[in-house]
Amino acid sequence: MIRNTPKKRALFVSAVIAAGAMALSTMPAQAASQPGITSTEIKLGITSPLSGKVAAVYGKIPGAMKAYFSHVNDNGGVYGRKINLISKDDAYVPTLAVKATNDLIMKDKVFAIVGALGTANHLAALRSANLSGRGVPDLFVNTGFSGFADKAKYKTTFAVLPSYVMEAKIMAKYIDDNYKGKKVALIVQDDDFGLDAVAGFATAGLKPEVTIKFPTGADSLAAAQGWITGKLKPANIDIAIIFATTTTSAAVLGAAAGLQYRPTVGWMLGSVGGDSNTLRAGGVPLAILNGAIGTSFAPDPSDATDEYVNFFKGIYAKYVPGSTFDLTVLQGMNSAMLTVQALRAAGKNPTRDGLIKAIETKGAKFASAGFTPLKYSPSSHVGYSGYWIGKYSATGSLQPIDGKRVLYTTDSGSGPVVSATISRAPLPTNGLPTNS
Amino acid sequence: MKKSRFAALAVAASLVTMSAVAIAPAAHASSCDAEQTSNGLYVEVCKGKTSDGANFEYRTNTENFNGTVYLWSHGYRYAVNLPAGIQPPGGTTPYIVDMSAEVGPSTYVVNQLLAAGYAVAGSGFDTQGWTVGSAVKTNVELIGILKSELPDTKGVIAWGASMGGFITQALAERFPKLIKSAAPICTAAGNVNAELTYAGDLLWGMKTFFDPSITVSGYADGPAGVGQAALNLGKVAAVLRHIGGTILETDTAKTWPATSPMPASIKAIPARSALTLIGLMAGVPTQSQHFDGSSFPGVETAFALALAPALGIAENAGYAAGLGIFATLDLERRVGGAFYDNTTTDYAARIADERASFNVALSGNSAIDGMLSILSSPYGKRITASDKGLNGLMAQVAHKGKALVPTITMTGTADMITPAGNSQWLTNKNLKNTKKFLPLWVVTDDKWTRFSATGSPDTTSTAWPNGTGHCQFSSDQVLTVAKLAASAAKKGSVPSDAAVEKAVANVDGLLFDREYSVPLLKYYQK
Repeated sequence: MIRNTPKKRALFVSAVIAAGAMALSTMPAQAASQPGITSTEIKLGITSPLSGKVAAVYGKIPGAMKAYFSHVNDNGGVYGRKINLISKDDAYVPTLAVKATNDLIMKDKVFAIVGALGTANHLAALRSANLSGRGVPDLFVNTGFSGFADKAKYKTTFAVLPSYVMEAKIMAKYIDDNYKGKKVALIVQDDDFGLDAVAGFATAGLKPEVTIKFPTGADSLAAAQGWITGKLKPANIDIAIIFATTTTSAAVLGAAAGLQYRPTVGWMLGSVGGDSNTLRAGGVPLAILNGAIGTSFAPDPSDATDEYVNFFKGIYAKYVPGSTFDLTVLQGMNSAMLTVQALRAAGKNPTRDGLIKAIETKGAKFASAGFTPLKYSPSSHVGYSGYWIGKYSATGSLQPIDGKRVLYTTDSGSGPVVSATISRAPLPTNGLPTNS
Repeated sequence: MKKSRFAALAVAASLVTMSAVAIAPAAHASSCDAEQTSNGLYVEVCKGKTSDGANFEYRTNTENFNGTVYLWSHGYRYAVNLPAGIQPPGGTTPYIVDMSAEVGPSTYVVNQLLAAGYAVAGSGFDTQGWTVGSAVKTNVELIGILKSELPDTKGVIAWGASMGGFITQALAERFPKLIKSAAPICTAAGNVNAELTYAGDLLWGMKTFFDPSITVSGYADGPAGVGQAALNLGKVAAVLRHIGGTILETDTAKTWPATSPMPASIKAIPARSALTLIGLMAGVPTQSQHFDGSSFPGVETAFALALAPALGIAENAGYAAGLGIFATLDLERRVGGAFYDNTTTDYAARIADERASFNVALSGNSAIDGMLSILSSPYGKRITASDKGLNGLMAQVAHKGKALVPTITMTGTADMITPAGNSQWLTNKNLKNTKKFLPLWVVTDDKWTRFSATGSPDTTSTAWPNGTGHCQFSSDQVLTVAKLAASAAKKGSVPSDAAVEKAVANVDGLLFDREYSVPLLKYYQK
């Protein structure tokens, strides 16, 4: 029989109210019924590949973010609340990213999503998990797909990486300034990641002699050998741009090493596929990387002169002992530091709306390891706005050319690429932001 | 808890017949007998015919009838007999049109409701096929009979699955005073053209890419049309079998069936990518009985990214094609002409949201653009409806969508016959109508694909994982809906969100979240 038995609870309710009032007087201020926020905790969520082929590279991001959050938590948290980052595996598979994102929102009831990784994955998650419609903050996505900064479409999403369009435009500008007239080849994924790159190069007026578009995953060593022998060599390419993931970079550079091939000027690597630690782990001999041109918005993870690198490296060694500190880790920790500043800027009683407004109004001033300005504003969810160009050393570190770090900034549209000066805020004392 | 799943009678491909019931000879009056149920109850079983000749039945637990009757509307049944040797997927051979009354989704659920003091009722409708208009009339008459023959009846809860859900919603919109609450589950919604466009687009895509002799619309009259439809289903099955069987073939040209008219430039793309494109542009779920779209053997994600979507679509497409073929045949006869029309369909727009997520399965942007270009070339000759057919289709019963009585939907998110976008349409019509509308979803599990020791997918399981299949709900899920509908009938509004959260908390796979959403049917996305 289905029956609801009413109970008189007046006395019990009164007792609860009284006890609650006493407890409230001793607790930190608390936002009214915000998912993921209690008086002692801020619950955040991240999806990234913890299993599958790319787990060894991108699976380090949650650990890197947790390392920084642990440092903050051990020093009092954010206005007394500890950050609890819940990490879900998406294996770099969109279907699983959708499931993981839905679980974070509906089961774990996180306050915000942070650092979600992968263009296809996160596009699928945004479409199916309705982050924008739900008003769930979607902070500092780990992809440079320009579409994520489309505030009209994704109201709660904030990009952090400079877009692939920006990167391509800046690469084209560098080539035009330094290697005008040289024959360029472009190796690019045949998806939205690559589409951004192709659009950027086209906007900048760079017309590759050879363009190799490959479906994601069709980047085996044998395929790369075919590209070199069948297309790059016959075209006598001067500069070969690899604008893809480290898996592709490793395949192409590995194949080139085996074939003893090098474009006449050299290789140029996009930032996504340019982490030398990852390439080395993928079997790429450093010799072939030596002298290659690369881009980055942040310092090289081996740059011992950089205060952010040194700080993050120390924290990572403390909380994730034995794990290699690389560019992926640096970016993860950097996004974690941005997250803490965003939470602080949202105030002592954070709300989802308040968090979004805080980034829009104060985010451009957040301290971070990035060299180029953050472009957050009430009308923009664009993150970093440019790159510096460097060359890989014999040890695999990306270093400023001729000892001088030259920055370029631009936008994801038709705006010009312009030189810029470093405008980076200093590292907060002990790496602990005090902004409000 | 042990699951007792049921398959609602719905459409051609997923037809599962329930136990037959003897037809009572007298019109307008019931003949009643006592019967002991499998759970030990003695119930009164009454049978009769409505004025339109539909068989009806109601069952009452005479010891503790609480005054509420659940009125069930069954799903789609074939409208024509099929001779031996022609067996649509999931159907029987030979198939004889089933006119039996149906009082609930499964014997177990019915007996549980009877044990709880409810009565159950339902009919077989006066005709089969897409019979919404007359089914509503039959239901109205049956409600009158119930109130007459069961004078203790205080209220009626209308519920039904698939087309039965459509009938339930239509009944609730047209006769809200006759029922206390409604529960259309795994329902079709809006207008029938939305559902048939889903199936028609799938068939048109298969015709275009794989076999020009596949019929999408314009079936012949009489037995010839039935034979044509059965033959058509065989052609679709042959294509799906070929692609499924060659999915690991490295020579992509060999993955295309011999019947494909595609030029070499398209055959340089794996046929599985074309099947994925067709499935996405029609709206076929990529998750199916055996393919979750997430699992992969070892660390090689390529299976999940490149192959699983096509395999999931292939499994689902057979069922969806069954719907398209036999329901189209039926409705063309009802309305007097062909109604499928894709002359203005923008298939590129149809997949705009999915081409990034399924980029690997689709073999990249260049392949996608190449395949899309085929759809606007002479290879992709569009189909024009006849005026008579289209007008006749538009004259079929349609929903306005707003819940006038407390209404509870339950929908599998990877249903391949009535895709979840149907229920989303109803949900969208009631976003602010939270007192009268309650959407429940049966969401898919994390992973269910199994692999052999050599890494091949294992498709031997006969179970339907949560969210997959057509109306494949567990008894727990169905009974939860029934209980919530009963509560809503008492209150005049759906239970509070807190009460619903509590009710679904321990029901495996069942989700309540008012902000959860799934893509609308493609027809409604335009």
